[in-house]
Amino acid sequence: MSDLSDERIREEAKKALREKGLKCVIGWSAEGTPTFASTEEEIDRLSFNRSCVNNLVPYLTYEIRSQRGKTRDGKDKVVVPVGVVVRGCDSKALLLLLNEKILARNEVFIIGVPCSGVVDPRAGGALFRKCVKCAMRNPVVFDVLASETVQEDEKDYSEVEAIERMSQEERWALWEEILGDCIRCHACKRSCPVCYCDECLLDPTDVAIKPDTTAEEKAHRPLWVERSVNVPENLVYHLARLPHLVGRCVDCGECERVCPRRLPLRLLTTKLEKDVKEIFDYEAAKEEGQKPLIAMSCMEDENGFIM
Amino acid sequence: MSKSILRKDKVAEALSALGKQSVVYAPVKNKRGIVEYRELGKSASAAEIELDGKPDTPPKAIIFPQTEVLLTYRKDKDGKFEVTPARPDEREKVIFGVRPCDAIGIAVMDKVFCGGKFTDPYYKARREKVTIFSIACDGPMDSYCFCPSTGGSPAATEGSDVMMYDVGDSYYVEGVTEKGKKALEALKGQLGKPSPEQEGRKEAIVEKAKSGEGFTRKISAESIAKLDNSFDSKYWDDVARRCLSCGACTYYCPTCHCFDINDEKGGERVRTWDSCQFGIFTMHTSGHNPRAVRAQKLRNRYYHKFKYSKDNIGRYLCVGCGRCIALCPASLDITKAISEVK
Amino acid sequence: MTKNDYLPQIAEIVSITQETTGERAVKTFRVAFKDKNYKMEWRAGQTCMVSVFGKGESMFAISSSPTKGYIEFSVQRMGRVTERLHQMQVGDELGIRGPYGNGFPVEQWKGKNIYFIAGGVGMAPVRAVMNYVVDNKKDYGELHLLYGARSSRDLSYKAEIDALEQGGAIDVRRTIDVAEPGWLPVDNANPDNTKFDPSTRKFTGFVATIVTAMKCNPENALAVICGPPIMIKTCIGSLAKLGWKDEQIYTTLENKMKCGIGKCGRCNIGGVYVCVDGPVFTYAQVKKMLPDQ
Repeated sequence: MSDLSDERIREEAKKALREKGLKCVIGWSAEGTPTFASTEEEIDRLSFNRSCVNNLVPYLTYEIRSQRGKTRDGKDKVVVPVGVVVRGCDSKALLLLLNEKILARNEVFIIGVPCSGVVDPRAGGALFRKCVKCAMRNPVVFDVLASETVQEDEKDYSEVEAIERMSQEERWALWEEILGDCIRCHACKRSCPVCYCDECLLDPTDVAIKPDTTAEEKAHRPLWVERSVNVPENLVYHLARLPHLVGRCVDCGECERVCPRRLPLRLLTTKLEKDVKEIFDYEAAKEEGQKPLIAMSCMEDENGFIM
Repeated sequence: MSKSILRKDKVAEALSALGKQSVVYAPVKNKRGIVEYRELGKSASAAEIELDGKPDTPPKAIIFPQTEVLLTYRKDKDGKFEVTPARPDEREKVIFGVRPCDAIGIAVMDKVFCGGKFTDPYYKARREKVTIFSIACDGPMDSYCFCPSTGGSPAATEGSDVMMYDVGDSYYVEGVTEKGKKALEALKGQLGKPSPEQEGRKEAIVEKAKSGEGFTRKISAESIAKLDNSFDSKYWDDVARRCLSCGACTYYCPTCHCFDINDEKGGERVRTWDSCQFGIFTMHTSGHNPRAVRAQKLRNRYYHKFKYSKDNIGRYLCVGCGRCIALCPASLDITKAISEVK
Repeated sequence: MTKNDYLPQIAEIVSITQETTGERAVKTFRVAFKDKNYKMEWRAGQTCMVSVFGKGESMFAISSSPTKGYIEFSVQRMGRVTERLHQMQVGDELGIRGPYGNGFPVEQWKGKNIYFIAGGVGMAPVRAVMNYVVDNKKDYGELHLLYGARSSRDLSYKAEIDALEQGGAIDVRRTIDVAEPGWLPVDNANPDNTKFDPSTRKFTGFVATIVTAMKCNPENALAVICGPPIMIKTCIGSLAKLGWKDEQIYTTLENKMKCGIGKCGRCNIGGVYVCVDGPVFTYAQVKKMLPDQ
């Protein structure tokens, strides 16, 4: 949080740029703007403070994956490693991507910044709600840490528990109101660090297609979500995201942060995280090398929803 | 009656007078703190209205709804189709408390939907029934405003039917168009005569608006002119690197009007807002996509705002409201992007 | 209410011609409006939004000439709308709105020699304008058609073009990608080396190669080129080497469209809207555009 950590970020970034030949280091400017620094001069503009609100992991994924491909003689293209500055919550998402082998550890250079919370520009200087009580303040995967680790809190489930105590009718009314207010700008999906598919079932109408996709295939792709913006379609939109996030969402809160309608989307993701913990005793991105939840099904798993 | 005074404590009364002949929309704060236009009497009351700041959303959706049925088609037992056009909501409407940038936004959309070789009948039918009561701004409403750079002004009257000026405990009210003057006739009971002091205050707002005083955010005409020769610049790759290709900027823009049309369930052909920032917006059925990468998409948006529209409809497609800057998840800033173009 | 340009007219399919087969088959659909009083007037090169109700709308060039008195669309099987269209039968109903776009400036072309150059399904708009010109032959000079496809099976409008050729209305040459018996192979790498008898009508080679080999004469002439982007590009290159000016070369562009009337914002190339400003452009106009790719 101090100038000291800024110095450390810059020092380590420059060192890695020189020694590891990084393509760039993705960090924040002093104003909190996501910044791509590819020279020492640009690195001098990197900073970390309470206005650094963006999770930078989606940029990292893009920078690395856009380098992938085959050379003319059919070999894998060489990926130039990319540096990134991550807070605790961001690092969890990054660890998930490493565990899912979407990114390789040697493709990324990670500067971790322990974080005591960042400020919600829409809340007049107050911390984001997700930052008030936070159980992931310290980076879980990093090459270097820019400052001393900080005290973490117990995960706060109080808002989710309040909803769990509601009747079905109350819950429906709650979600009908929230989802009725969504304008489907896709900011939640596009900013999600663990959403990386090129092709998405939530994309309107035609899905991603290639030159060799047959007319028949295109014609028979199901349309999961109609383009009309209304409660039933918005419900499908948000609920269809969740099964893809089971055991993967780290509850970093980026979806809620970016929502221009200020929808409390973490009510969904925190609940998801809680259920995964309670039902499967699993926590996404707990440690390096962890298997994905989906690859760990066993006979003892609860299957009441099927029977 | 063309120059008069509406005391602020009579605004609610004025709104109910307007409500006798029209549906009235005004800015209201929703439960999550977003100030947006709501239909008074249906989803909000006059007591809740927020007239002091720039609403978080433009009034665009009242005239150009996000989801709109264009027509329905029915198939009879012999497989023969019958198509019925939908009738747009043609109730008389007053939009009250619009800021000048947003009123210009509607004037710009008028040029798109009602200008050129074709007229959009759905837009036009709704638009003709709308009367706009605007409130001049006393300088920038927040740090994102930059209307003077786009040909607007805090006291611009383009697109407004009635202009109101905040002169303290009252609004100085002036009919701009015939439609506006006619609407003011319904307010005879609420309107009074302005005092010389109130006249003076109104003039001060107009003068201040002309000077452009207080605006820190700007795009210079020289930067915009540079777009003519910067299309192929690598600069766009750098700017777009931060873009996440969501549609927040376009959905909150007072002038963004791109749309999609799809046949949906229930035999409805539906028009919905679309965004040039979405990945498949321009994708051909073959899979070919002329604007496939984010730099192309973002550049298209900026050029559409500041070059193509100027060439085609004689006006920027940006009114300087600054919402796209305030709401961008990636802190992209259109004023900075255009100002630094190389 | 103002004229509703989103409202399609119901039309019935009155005949279907299977032009080509395979994964990317082409069929020509002749349609007639259900409302017998409804008349649509169009110029060759204009387009229509065709509705397959429940699947959506797609923009297609009208492939029949206005001189013929009937409306046809030649459609390649490609996606959701066209897949369903290809399953439809005579008597099935479609929606049609239009015509849209500028069409070919055939009035300005009077007295000129015209080279029609088409590749694949790009023959559809060319067929409309070619038939228009042939039907008004007295107003125009020498007429040539150069038509390329992947194989002889992929050439559309066979009987129609054969009849034009035999009637002496137009000089027709065809070319395919892979050699078949009776189709003279030409050297794509060195088109100038190719010597052939002027009576040769069937070639194996790129369309652009034949353009060079034919030595298309730019004097008092114009060319209409429609087909895949790479074919258009190479043919323009060949014509330029023969001394053709950009203003003499016409082509049609396409982009994803939803409204067809210049509102929905997706078919633009720079500030040009293909739906209303096009689809017909001279190469001089195309060069001034700001293309994204």
